[in-house]
Amino acid sequence: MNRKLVEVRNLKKYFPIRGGVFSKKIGDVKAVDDITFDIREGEIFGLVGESGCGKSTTGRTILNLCPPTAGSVVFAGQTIFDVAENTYINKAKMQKLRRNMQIIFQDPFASLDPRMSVGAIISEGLVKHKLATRREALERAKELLELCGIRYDNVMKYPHEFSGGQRQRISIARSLALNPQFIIGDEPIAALDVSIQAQVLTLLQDLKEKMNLTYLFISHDLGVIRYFCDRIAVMYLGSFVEVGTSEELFNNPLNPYTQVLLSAMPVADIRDRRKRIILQGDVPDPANPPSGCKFHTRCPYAQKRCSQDEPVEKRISETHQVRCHLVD
Amino acid sequence: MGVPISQTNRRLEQGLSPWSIALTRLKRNRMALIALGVLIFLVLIAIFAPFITPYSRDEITMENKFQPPGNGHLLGTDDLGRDVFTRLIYGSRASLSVGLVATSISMILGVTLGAIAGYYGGMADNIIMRIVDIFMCFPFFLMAIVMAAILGPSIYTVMAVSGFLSWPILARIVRAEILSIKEREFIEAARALGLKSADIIVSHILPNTLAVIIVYVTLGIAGGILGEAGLSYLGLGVKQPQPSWGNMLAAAQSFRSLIKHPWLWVPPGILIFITVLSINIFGDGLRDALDPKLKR
Amino acid sequence: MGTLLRVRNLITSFNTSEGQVVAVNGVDIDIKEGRVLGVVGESGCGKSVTSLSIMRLLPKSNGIIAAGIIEYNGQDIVQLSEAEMRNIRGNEIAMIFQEPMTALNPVLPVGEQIGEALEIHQSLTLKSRENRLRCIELLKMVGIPRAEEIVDEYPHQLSGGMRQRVMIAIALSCHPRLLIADEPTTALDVTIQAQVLDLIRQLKKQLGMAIMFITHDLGVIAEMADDVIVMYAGKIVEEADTYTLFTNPRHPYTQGLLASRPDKMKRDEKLHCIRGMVPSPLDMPPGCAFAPRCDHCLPACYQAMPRLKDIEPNHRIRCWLAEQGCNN
Repeated sequence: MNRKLVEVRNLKKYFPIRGGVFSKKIGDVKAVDDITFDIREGEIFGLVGESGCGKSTTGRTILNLCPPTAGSVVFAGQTIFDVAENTYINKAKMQKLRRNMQIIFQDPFASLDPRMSVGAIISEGLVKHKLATRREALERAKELLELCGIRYDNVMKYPHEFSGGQRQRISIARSLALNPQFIIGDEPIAALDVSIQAQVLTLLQDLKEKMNLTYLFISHDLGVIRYFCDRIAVMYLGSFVEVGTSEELFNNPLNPYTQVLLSAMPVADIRDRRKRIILQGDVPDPANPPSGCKFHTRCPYAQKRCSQDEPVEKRISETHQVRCHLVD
Repeated sequence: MGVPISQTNRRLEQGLSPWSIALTRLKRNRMALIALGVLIFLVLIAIFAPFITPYSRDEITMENKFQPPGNGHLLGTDDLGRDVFTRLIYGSRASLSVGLVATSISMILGVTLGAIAGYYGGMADNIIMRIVDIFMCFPFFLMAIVMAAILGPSIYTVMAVSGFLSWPILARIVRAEILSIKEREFIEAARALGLKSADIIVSHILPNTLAVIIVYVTLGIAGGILGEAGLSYLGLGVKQPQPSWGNMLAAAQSFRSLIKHPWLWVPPGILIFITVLSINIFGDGLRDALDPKLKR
Repeated sequence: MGTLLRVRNLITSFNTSEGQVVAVNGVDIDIKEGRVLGVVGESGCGKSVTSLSIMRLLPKSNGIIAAGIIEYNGQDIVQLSEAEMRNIRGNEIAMIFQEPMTALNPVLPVGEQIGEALEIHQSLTLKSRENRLRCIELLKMVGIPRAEEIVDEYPHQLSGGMRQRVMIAIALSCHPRLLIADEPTTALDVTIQAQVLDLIRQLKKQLGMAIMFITHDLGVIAEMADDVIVMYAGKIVEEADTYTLFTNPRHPYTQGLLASRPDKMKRDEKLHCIRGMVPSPLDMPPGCAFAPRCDHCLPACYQAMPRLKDIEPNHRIRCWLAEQGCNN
């Protein structure tokens, strides 16, 4: 097995809710609530869950784009933060480390500065980190554009002159400019059309091979996650309910929530007429999560103890872990 | 890792930057262009005033007072026999420069403080915004009159007063704009690239607020000119013998002149009207041209 | 079964600053009573504009129905006055949209918004007792718990799924015979999407209305529709009953779309990509609009647009391959 690239331990991220006249803290939104996982080099790790389950916040916290509440993240042996030991990486080191870890965002219309040319956008990192002169960086930008499937002579154009799919390619080119090892894709294809989704997904696969990348792939689309990712974590209200390889999770889903997600996924296959599990009710408010197992309010198999005790993680295999009282 | 690029010398396709798009759109807006033409014309007149008129600005010829237009005096003469047309074009110097200087003061204060409040937030934001709130509680003219009374009426007082009283609005606009840009994903992408805060402000945030600043500064000049006119009319602004459109209007304070000598106050009134209208039309044109919702 | 809605040669165009854009270009649609017609296509294919044309809800400033007839129950509604059209909208044809938050008025309680529709179309006075009871009844029908309380709540107090249910309740308040659903579940999470789809299916069975279901998601189409229309660049490219379309797609675009989804793909298989992107409506290629992206392209494809041709009963495609009698 490859060495661990990202080690996340007991990560928590709470957003304070403020209210009243003096903006006093009146509670927390537990966006990420105690998650632990590793990503190995060359792996594609998938995070799947419904909106508000904390999957995007997880990505941003790992990249140190928002301050953590608790836990630690180690990237390639370098501790980014460890809240318990009160160690935080210093600013200069972090800026250097950022070259190795990048992020691709969901909305290709918001993630590119509208007033910069594509060449300037892609070469910005190289220039600001003083890794190349402006001229060299622009040459590199042209190479990266071609690599991402856009003709290099578009380098002087502006973002508004491209379609959503092309912008996402530009976004990917920018993230590759600093030769990173690790890329977080935060729903990178969710805003694209079906045929363009396939193109971008294929591009991400090719780039992974060519540049030895490791991905953390965040998505709500189970079909894409199953196909694209090696290992997958299913998130519900800030916690992992099940982690496993793509095969384990999809052939043998153990947590009822995973089963529900799978059965709710619409599949473009007329012969596949599965019996659906239709959940009752909505996702609970993350500011006020249910006691015990957070899923018990909607779980079709909930028992009495589910509302009382929080389930502990059970190891099914080396790679497959689940949190559910019903799994023995 | 190297990707071969075909060695053919394909010319790079030049993109349309948001600025050049704005320019094309502005060129299509006929009203704004006419307004701009009028403004340029007025500025040129102000600059070349001595070459346009044969009279000197303060030349008094008492025997010629209250001459109606014609007779060698295009717009007649005033109560001291000075040529009204001459004073009008010299007056544009005072009026326009008050507009420009006052707006510059308000721009420097407003943009700096608004940017600090917007980008850093927290305590700085709180303090600056409370100052803004306090400033916005005072009625403009009352404050201006008090300040002019303390500092003594002069053109510099007018500049300072309108400058210091109009920055809070700009500060608010800049702050709001920065707050919204700060939340956009490209700022987060820049942070993920490891850029320093200063780099992010200079190369991403300011260029994206520039459009809004330009529009409000343009419209602010109109406010400055109106402020000058109001204060000078009340005798608290530009002092005689230096002419300004505002203190020329003051002729209308005398009932006799209001009825019998309309050439004393109608021309400066019309010029103020035309100038402010042109600035507003041009400013609106700029706003439309710079609209960030770029058409795809 | 009678034909409820018959659209012939519908052409809808928009005046933009860059020129006239023909968004829908000669579309024929038949919706039979009690059937669900699925309309599928990527963004910009004209599927939403088609539905807005049928509702006569095009933006007044620049959208026009340039040609064609839209016959509802034997009556051409293109010729109707605005007042007559208002009578049809809501009473006969109702519509639900993608984003339930923007379609609901944020300052009115949901009960009042349903009540308004009842007042206009069924002359039940807004604040009356019957009106309120009917509102509560409708909310219960769309599966909203605590309907007696929810009726007085404001849209922002409800979750996305609940809001969409309220939209459906408003749409159903007057027993429409045709419901147009424009991407009604796109903004929702998978588990909530499953709930709403289930609800629409049940209501259809219960009330016997016809549905025009617009979506970009082939999976949802497979689940909901009886018949399917595939649109590309303002034209219908394939039309068949759902089973035929999914088991035997014949147009290269439909085939490409189905192959673009990784749902049934093995992990090591390469995803099929439709290359390129949708042509700009201002710069349509001559001939078949799909030709530049098509893998089976013939010389004829670049010269003229093929007709929509029957290749078997109830199965039509617009493709030169069919015209020339080849099988692909």
